[in-house]
Amino acid sequence: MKRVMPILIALMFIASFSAVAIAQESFLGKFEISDIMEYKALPNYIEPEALELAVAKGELPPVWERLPKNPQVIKSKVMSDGLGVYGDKWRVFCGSPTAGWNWAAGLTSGWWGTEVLVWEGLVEPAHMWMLKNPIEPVPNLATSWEWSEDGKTLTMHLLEGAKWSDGVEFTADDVLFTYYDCHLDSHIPSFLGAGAWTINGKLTELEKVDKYTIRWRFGAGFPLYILFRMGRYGLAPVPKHVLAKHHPKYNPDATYEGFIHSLPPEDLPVVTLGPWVPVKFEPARFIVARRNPYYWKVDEKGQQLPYFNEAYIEKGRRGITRTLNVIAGSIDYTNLETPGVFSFALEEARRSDSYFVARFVGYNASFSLQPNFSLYKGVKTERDRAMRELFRDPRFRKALSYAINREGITNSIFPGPLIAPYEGSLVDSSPYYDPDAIVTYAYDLEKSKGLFAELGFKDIDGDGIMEWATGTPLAGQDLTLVIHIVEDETAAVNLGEALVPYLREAGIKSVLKVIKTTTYDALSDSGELEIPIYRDNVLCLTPLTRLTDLGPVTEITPTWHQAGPGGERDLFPFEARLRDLINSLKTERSGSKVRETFSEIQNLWTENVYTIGLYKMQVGNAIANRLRNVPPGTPPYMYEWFDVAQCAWQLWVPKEEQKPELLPGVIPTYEEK
Amino acid sequence: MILKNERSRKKNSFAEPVKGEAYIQLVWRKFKRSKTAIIGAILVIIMAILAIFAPFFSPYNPLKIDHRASFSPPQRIHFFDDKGKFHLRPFVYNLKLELDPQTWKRIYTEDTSKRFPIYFLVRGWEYKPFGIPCKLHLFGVAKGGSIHLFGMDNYGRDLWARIMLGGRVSLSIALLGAILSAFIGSMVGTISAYYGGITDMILQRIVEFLQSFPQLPLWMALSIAIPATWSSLYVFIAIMMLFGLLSWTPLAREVRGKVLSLREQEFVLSAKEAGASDARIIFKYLIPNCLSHIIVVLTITIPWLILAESTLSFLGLGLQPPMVSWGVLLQEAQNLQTMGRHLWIAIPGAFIVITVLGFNFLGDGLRDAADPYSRR
Amino acid sequence: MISYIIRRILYVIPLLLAVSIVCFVIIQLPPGDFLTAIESQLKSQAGLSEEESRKMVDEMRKTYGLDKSMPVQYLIWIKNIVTKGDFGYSFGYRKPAQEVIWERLKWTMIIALSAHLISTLVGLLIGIYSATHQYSLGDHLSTFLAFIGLSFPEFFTALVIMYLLVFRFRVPHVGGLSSPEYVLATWNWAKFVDFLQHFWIPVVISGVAGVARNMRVMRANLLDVFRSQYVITARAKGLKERIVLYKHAVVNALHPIIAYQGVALPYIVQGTMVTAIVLNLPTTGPAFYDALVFQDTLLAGSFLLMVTVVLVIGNLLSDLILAWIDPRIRYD
Repeated sequence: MKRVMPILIALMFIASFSAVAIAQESFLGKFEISDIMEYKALPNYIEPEALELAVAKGELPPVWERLPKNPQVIKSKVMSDGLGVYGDKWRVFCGSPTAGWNWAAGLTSGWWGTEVLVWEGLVEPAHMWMLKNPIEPVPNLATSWEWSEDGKTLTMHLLEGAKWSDGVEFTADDVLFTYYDCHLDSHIPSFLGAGAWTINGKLTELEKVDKYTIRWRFGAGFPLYILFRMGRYGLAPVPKHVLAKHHPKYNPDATYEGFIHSLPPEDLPVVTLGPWVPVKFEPARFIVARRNPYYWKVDEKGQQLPYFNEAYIEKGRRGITRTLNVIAGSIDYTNLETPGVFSFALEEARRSDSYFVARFVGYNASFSLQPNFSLYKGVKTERDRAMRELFRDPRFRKALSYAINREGITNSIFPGPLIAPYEGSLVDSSPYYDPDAIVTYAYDLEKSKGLFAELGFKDIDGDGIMEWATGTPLAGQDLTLVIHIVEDETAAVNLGEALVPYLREAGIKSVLKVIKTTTYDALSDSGELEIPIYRDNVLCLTPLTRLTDLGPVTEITPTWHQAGPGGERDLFPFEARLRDLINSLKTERSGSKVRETFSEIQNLWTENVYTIGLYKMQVGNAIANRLRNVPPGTPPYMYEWFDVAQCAWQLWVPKEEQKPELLPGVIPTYEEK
Repeated sequence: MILKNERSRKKNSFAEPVKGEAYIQLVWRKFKRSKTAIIGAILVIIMAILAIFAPFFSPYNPLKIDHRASFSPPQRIHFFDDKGKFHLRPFVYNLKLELDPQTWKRIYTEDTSKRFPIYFLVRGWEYKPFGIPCKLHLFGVAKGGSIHLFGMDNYGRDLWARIMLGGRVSLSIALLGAILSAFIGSMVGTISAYYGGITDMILQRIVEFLQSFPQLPLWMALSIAIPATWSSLYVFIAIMMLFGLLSWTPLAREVRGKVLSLREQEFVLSAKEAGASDARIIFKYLIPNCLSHIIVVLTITIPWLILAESTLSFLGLGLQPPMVSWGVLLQEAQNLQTMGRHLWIAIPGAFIVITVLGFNFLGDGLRDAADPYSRR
Repeated sequence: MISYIIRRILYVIPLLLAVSIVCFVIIQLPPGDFLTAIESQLKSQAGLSEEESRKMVDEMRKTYGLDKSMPVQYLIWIKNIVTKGDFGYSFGYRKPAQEVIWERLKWTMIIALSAHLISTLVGLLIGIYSATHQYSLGDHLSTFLAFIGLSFPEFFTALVIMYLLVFRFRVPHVGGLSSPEYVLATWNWAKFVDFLQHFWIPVVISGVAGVARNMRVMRANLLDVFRSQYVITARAKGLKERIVLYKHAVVNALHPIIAYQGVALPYIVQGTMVTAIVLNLPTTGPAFYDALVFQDTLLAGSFLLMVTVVLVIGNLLSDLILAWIDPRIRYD
């Protein structure tokens, strides 16, 4: 009976799951760039009444003067509920403090989606998940670009006539200021320093061709991955006309310290290219942002975007508050990323008076054990050395993989299809996922025992735990794994707790160390983690955006095999091949070649058990059901977070469901400074 | 702080000299008369027994994980079966697990097809009191049945067993911390007063220094500094030391005041005259005469440390899982939604309240009793 | 008397110095620093690679002098506090630590003072009632309730109240200080009602223990005073019971409570701390907690130092107050 039940249950799930998930056809991998948007002039533009009124009073220039010559037209194809109407407010929850508005100096607006309000990149990686062929990101402030023959020169055309929210024109000077005077200035802790812009030992050069054209010169041909550095989180231009007077290079009286903090959170309204302009801020409580009258996106009818007149950001401290508030109907979206909340959210979503829908769109996160292979970094004791030598033996990794009952673990943690066994490397939602390339060493205690015996491990004292063989440095001691887990990753902690008894069954003792993020990262940086449980959203999904983390291409990556002082590191043969493949991907432009390469990587990875996969998970979203136009199938994370990928500017709420705005009619106005 | 004032206000009433058996009888008679003190003592004794013999009272291993029974609710004890028939021996029904096909939520219902009578002194999981293997448990049900009186936690561990075990940790950390604090406090107080002069000066400066820190923030800061990589035992000892080393100052001041007056008394002076060593005078005459006071303060410190431990652990700064204490157990209740749907995970909170209440009753009763000449 | 005051004040200076060193050292104890937190944010939120994020924080470490030795960092910190009133840089908020604390102080004080005032008032009234009706049903009941109040851990009270509000009374918005729709409204009746609906929760939770303590102190003091010679004399003189009670007994019984006000501030600030953390209020408590957890070192250290300094000064004041109202205290 016990054995039949899971199968029956599994069948039930499959039937019901398809009913839940496929409400609207997903946009994942469906479009060409031209299906999503284009840059063109429309015969007629429409704006909300409040702005019309301001224009009539002469407080604002008319809408066609505020828009660029060819604004970005968002196509109706990506608007699943059609053209919207103006009004209401978008309600976001933010769990980190707002540091300031000088994002080129490394100050965050608070993460959690607040970046959408004010940061706009040259390109838009957030749209990429919709692309059929996701090699290059979607244009944004850079409307198009051409590569030179050898791929070492890239000419970019900027959106002509786009204006900052104070009405000043955005030009190539802003980009050059952001690049040279912020990113490359070593006194300024920008998100990307010179290191990120150096290719093959050559610092990338940027020159201004004309007011609306810039040219990049790289140290290698077609460095596509550098394009991802030109998105919202990389090269998001800052307003030179606002910031230059605080910069020591332009103002001899200014200091770097002063420059970094020249735009503190309470300095409002912000000068931005984004859809909403923060106008009110109270620390630890909220930010209110009003629509940017100069925003440069319109819909096909000519309505200036965004549809929401306002964005309200509630400040809090913990992710769970966001979930609870979405359920209570006071926040518009959240991620669902621990099995512990899945049932709860699904159940609440099914109530007739529920404020939200729960969406799961496929496996997009993974958990694995990362055995530390480094012999030259973070080795402090005899035991460290012995453990790493052991991890380096492929037989051990296979034996460990055989020892783990993944079915049992996933079933007991969450008995539904939202989590599933995982072997390592990529997961299903990744555009490069290739199930045929993956080698599995699925649960098989016999094989595991056999391999352990080969390695000399035997349970001598009869306590059910195998001991190290005589002659080894740890002779007679129990085979013990020290597993570090980050405390905040509830799902990983859960998994660790579930793993312990299964490992014990296989004769392996395990000690869980649940530690704070900062401690974990400090240990990771110094290469002292033994075999942590690691949760991954990026490498298993969109590895192209963080290629260097994938294998031994820098001294500190992969984190589980870092090089020692002087770059000393004994690579496995398959790792050397991995390194070459990753390096080749850095400049690869052909979609099919990229796919092929990733197939080989997945094969190498899983065949050699580079990491020991545990389970993969469908991170989901809870989205307020009043919202229209959330693109069907928007992944919680892929290239960018859901916060960005849901295309906030095109969201709207029908008139009869709209809620009152906090500052109705208010238009951001700037005092002369 | 107010407590301190309250205590110092009562300081003068502790000035009676050597206490013999008559004194103890007097105290006991006075103590007996206070109903609340007796209730407090009973509560404390019950909690102590539950904690000391935790495995005996737990039909299940508190560390055993059964994910499939995650958040299964408390089982009810029945006397009447589903047909309304009365059974003298109480019984439970097993819980049937079903899954909601849409949300994959586990739904538990009573399976009334089979009764599981509760038996006493049964054999169950093995534990080792003092290294001797033992399988005896106070109660349990026949094979095939289960009895989870307080339900299961997130990982499917028996909450009843975990509360018993947690009580052991919470009570012992508070008790050891309080004893350490009482020891240091009485030693420092006595030495300070007995030797006086520069010794007194230095010790009093240390006391003042320690008292200048606000407790809660200081404890939070110190407990977060305990290395995350330490083993549970070390963390336990570290927190215990923290409690002991930081909470002795009020006692030291009071003992000092008391010894200052004792120092000049006949019996101490004559002992000195007779050439008794300092150590002898301290341990034979001074400390015993403060003992009733020290015990009272000890009793008041324990509940205070229980509250401190549970607060720190609840905030994730004190003891950490896999260590179990009442505060650690309540970490799970941190998420309101978890607690709202599985109310039983808040039961450890009730144990904290009851225990602290018991100690407060007891301490109050002892304080009044130790001062038998007062009229209250 | 004057020399006593001067001596006490002079004595405070080395004490403060020692205290500041300890605050600084404690906060520096855990491994890693806030920049490791920034590093992981850069990886998880901004999608930076391992290499990029680590380079950035290494540069920041240099910029902010975190690569210097601990004594040097301490000297810089204390020098800036004394000379410029600058408590150092909070990485979590990217601004001076004192600003972070300052902007949260308003709500901290409002909540803490309300809780303190209400708990003192209510506690005193119940205490007076209890003492004047000794051994009555009301006395027993309030004494018992006071015990219960002292036995609830604050966080547990908070959990229970939140649970009742959300799951039993279905209150739509709990936590924080106002519903989202009122944050910017000008003060009107509806907003005031909404504010009160949020405000009473932390006040009550952090006030419960205070009520219980004050009640017990007042009751005990008053009973003592009743037995004192001059009250007996006053009664014997045939003064009205009301006058005896309020003009003589209560006033005298209040002495220790008045003296306590000197040190009340740090205690009431820390008293609301746990509540504020559980309820997620925009006050200093949660900021301190987060600063500890994320090793926002200087912010945590500054907060600890500030509360400690207030406590030291409060202790001084309350000693002076006591010396002033109670001439029996010796000045040596």
